[in-house]
Amino acid sequence: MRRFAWQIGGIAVALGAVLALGILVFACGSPATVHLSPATTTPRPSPTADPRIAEVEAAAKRYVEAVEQSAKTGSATMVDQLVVHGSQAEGNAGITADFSRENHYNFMSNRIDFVNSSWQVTVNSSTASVSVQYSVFGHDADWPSLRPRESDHESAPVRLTLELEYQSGQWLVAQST
Amino acid sequence: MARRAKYLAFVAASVAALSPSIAQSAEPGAITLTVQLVSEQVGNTAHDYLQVTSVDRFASAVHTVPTRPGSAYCLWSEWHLIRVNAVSHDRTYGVYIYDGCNNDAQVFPVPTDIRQGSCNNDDNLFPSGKFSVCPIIPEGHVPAGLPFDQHCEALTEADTSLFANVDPPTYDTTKPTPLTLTTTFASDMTQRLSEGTCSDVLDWRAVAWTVHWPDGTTDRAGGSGQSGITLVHTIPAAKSDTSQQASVVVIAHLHVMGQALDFDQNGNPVVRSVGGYVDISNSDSATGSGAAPVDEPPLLAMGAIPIGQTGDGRLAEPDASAAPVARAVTIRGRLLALWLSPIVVRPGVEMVDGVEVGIATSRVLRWHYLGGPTDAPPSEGTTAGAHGSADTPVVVQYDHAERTDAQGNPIDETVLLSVVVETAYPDGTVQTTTLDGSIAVAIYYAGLTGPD
Repeated sequence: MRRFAWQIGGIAVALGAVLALGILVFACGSPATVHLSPATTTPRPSPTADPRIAEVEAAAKRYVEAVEQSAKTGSATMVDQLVVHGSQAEGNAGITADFSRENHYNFMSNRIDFVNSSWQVTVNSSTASVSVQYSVFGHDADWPSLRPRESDHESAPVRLTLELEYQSGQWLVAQST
Repeated sequence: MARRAKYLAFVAASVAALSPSIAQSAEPGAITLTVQLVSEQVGNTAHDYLQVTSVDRFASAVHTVPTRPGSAYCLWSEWHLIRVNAVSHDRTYGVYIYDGCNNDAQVFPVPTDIRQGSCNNDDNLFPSGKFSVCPIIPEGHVPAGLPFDQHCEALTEADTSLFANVDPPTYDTTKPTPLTLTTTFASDMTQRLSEGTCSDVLDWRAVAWTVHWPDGTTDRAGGSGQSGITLVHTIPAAKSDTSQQASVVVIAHLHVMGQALDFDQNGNPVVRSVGGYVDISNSDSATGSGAAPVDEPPLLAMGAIPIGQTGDGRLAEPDASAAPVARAVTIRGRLLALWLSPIVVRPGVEMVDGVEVGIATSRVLRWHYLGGPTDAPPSEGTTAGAHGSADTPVVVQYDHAERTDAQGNPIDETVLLSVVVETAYPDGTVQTTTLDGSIAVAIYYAGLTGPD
């Protein structure tokens, strides 16, 4: 009986090894197969949260901060550093700065309040998409003097959708709507 | 909430006060660009241009997109003709839109009308995927702000309005054959020219023709206005015994005048007068770019219309129809007014592809007297080194008799001058030249037989 148990155990181990090997082969794939990490999507928090989600969120926050800063400087230089070269997002990078330059006023923010519950993040191997809502606390001001036209207050919400690409070790915005 | 409402109201009021092109965003909270094609009628031709609406979080602004960069605005565009529908005459342009305020980054606004949409998915025109937007310009419309030259890139359109008929259509190459070429313009020529030159054509005329016959010879013909021409050319007999199609390439050199919608330095649409030369041809290889007119300068000599002082002391006005002369005659002791005008030995000529299409006119703009003082009273005569304009004469006087040389031949006085002459050609070209020379003055006095 004991010998029988050992035989059963040996077969189980062998089957397990074969199964593990099969999974390994499948995971590595043939040369024609592109390996993709499984897409990970919020809502947060998730007990198995992909650390890349935090990276993508951080990239989105940097982008929003740069856009808000461009309203004050009238320059899209900071935004340009966060977008994919030649992409739609690069073309959109100057919208806020241009608004200040051409209309000689804009809303200048002192603080950005992201709506935590609004984060929608999808991460693939080298692309990601983000949808988030935020509001800004600040005031309308002349440009370039930045002379306030009113007192600080919370703005209406802004909804932003970004498509990002992972390039050279960082997430860059390829498309913004 | 009350603060937000107050903010929105303030933004709306501020925006309204700043510019009519700024508005409260219909959908606050976005950062987007949209583009649409708008039309403005100029004469009989609608001019189309792009307008981009930028939404920056809480407000939107409408920008006209000029066709060249400028310091007073950010967005500008570059148009390329990529397709012509020969039946409907629709023309599809590929347009790059750039943000001049952000290192000329290419902008990809979302078209509000699918007809002005992106060409990204057009497999037949893969390179068009790089354009920002691909508007379709319908018949009777032209893009605004494009230069009046081949960059409009639609002159092949106008080529379809030149008809060339050769009789007989085929001929026996072994026999000399007279070919009769008859050309006509289609009734829609003005519209085709408008679309081909991106302007509203007001007037056009054929100023010259070039005809390439099948035997390799070239004939040139003068202007024919808005009519065609008829030419006869005999093809000499050749050795080969074949029947050949009488293929003749005709080029009509046109001068076109019109008006077009352009953009000023602030990027606002403005109507400008335009004009220039274009070539229309029945050749498949015709590009439409007009043969550049060649201005041959005139051959000029120093001349003047002389007016002598009358017995009562008056100096009459010159006769405008009088011909200028290089030698004037005066009476000793009297003033002589020399109204400077060039003697046109050979006029300036405007040529197009070797054909004379117009004569230039030359006139004196100003003069510089290079001679010394004469016997004229200082208050009335021209002083040494004096300058004057064409409407003032050079005034001299000689109180002595005509001098003679050793053989007794008369020696005329010499009035040394330098004049600036302006020559204007029919196409509007103006050239100025400096002409140095002199007017000879013969002196007579009472008692002598007057001049012939």
